[in-house]
Amino acid sequence: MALAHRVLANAYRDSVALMQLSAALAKLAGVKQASAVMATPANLELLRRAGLDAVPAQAKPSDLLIVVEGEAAKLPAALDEAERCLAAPSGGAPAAGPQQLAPRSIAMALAEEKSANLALISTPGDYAAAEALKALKLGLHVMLFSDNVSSADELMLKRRARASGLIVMGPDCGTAILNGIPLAFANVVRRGAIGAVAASGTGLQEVTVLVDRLGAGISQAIGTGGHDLSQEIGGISMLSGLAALAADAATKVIVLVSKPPAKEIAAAVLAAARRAGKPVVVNFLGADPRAVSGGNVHGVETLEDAANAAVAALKKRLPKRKKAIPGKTPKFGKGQHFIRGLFSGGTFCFEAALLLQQSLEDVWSNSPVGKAKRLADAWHSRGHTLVDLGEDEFTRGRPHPMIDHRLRNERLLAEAANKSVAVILFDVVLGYGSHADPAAEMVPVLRKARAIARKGKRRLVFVGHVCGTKGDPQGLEQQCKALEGAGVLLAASNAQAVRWAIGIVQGAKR
Amino acid sequence: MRARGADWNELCAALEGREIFGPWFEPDFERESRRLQRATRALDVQAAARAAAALVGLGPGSTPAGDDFLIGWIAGLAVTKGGNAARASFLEKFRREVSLQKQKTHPLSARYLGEACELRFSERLADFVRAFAAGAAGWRAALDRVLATGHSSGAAAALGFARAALVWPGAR
Repeated sequence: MALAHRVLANAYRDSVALMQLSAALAKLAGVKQASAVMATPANLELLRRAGLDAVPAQAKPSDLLIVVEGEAAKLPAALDEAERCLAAPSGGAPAAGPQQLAPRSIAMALAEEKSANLALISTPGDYAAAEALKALKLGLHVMLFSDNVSSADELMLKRRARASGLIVMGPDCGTAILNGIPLAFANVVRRGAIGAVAASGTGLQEVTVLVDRLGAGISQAIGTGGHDLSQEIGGISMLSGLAALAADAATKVIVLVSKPPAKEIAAAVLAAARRAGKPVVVNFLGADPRAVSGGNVHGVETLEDAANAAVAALKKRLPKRKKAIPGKTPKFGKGQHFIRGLFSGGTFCFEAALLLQQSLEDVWSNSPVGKAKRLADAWHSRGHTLVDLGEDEFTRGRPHPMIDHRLRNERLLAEAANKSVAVILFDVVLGYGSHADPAAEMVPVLRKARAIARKGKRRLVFVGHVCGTKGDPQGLEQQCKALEGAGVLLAASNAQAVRWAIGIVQGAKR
Repeated sequence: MRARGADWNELCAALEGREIFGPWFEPDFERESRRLQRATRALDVQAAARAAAALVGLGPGSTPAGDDFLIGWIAGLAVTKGGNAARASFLEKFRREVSLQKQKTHPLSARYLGEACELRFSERLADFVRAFAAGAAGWRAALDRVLATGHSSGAAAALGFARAALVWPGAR
């Protein structure tokens, strides 16, 4: 093993970017480990002791030092790759000739691109409200990706936006597709006549993906942030989004998605939906669809139903559904009773809990809903457990599970070793922002999990669902093929995956 | 310090097992951290300053984790010194010594470290320290905000606080 390094003078990247770079370099062939650190005397001294020599004496604490350890022949390429990543963080090649200074404020960016009408804000929560306010004052709509924004600030921003005929999507808004452009975590879907407004990131992704798979398209997909339909915020952004889609000639059918809203707010949203003048499909997860339906408003139980109903309203025919569980009825050991759901999408976990408790008792979650009980310790499962791995307890100091699969992989192996587990249920989210090749991360772990169960003379069933389209950068077909090759039963939607899992556990021989 | 035993257990559990320094830096960090603990317990300013000097600029991150640890360490000592004159004197001299080491780290990190030497901390860290020391119910949420800072900065500062707050007898 050899060590090599490169010093980048006065280079600065935030810690998360440095960590991601280190992780990416460590995955290159022939590289054992890698680190991107500041060239401080303490770090240089330590690395010299570790065998790194020839570090330039003039290296100073404001310089960035990239160190890689591995096969000597492979290291120069790894350092080149690191430098390339750092030089072009947005993936673009540097322009020839004098380079224009990147804008350092929203006002500077607007001066450069005068036709812009939306600002996407992703700063630490402490600063996000101030930036959003600046954008609103400049007459821009706001997509607020940042979380940790107070309810008081959210209300202030949304009221101000409403007064100016603007919309604030967020805080904590992870998904939107505007005029065909996917923003943040979003999938590549065809354009069309179905518009959606959702207070749920993965809920919006699932609906837009399923609409695309059913051959229809999306006019606009507007996120509102998960807190929008609370009593406090009053559904300001959902009402604004709904009004915009009602007025949009290109939108023929509207879909609204949310976790159960406050009663008064639900009534206000439904009243507005009835005045929309076009079909509106409503999926208030956990609410009785019959209580929502009436006139042009059609209530549905699941995200899949929402997509189906929207396409049916557009094409005037119901989409076909594949219902049967594929494969033979499995035979489990005597003690194998439980489903363990490991979700990267919060809404998928929520929907799974709602469906599971209709058929099974003893449902637990770190993000419980309805009759599901709260896990005292999210790191340990009991009964039928559904875990939202995107919750704060799992993401502190780590990237989101849609990007970083390590935590889910560890949990998957732990569940496989548990004698009471029969089915492991999971989601895989494709699209912009998500991991570049989730199947490559999961397949070796699924094989290992199966081997663990086999060693204990148990059979384990994996049921998954890929939220993605043919146009997504990861390649839907390739991802599905790899997962199916590892023995995963792949359902067409989250709801179908959950129903399959229930059917397998209930129908299995023991 | 009004934090209860259960609070201490929860704090330690929240910090346990976090990858802060990584394999290259962990052994040096642990060695110097132990030296710092021993010297602080013995109120030996010069030995503590030597350990701190080894920690300044150490570790991964644009604000090296060793700096973040020292910021938390100073906060921890500040709330546990109480009315003890010897401890107060130690802390004052220790802060002065650490301040002299600032140029050994990244300028941005040096700024934060310099502020800590003046007993000025980020709002998130200060909120957490105040809540934890007062035994207030909101300390856990405040800790979560600290831990959400950077990749490892918040965790390193919280670790520094926790270890420092346990150095002098009577805190727990």
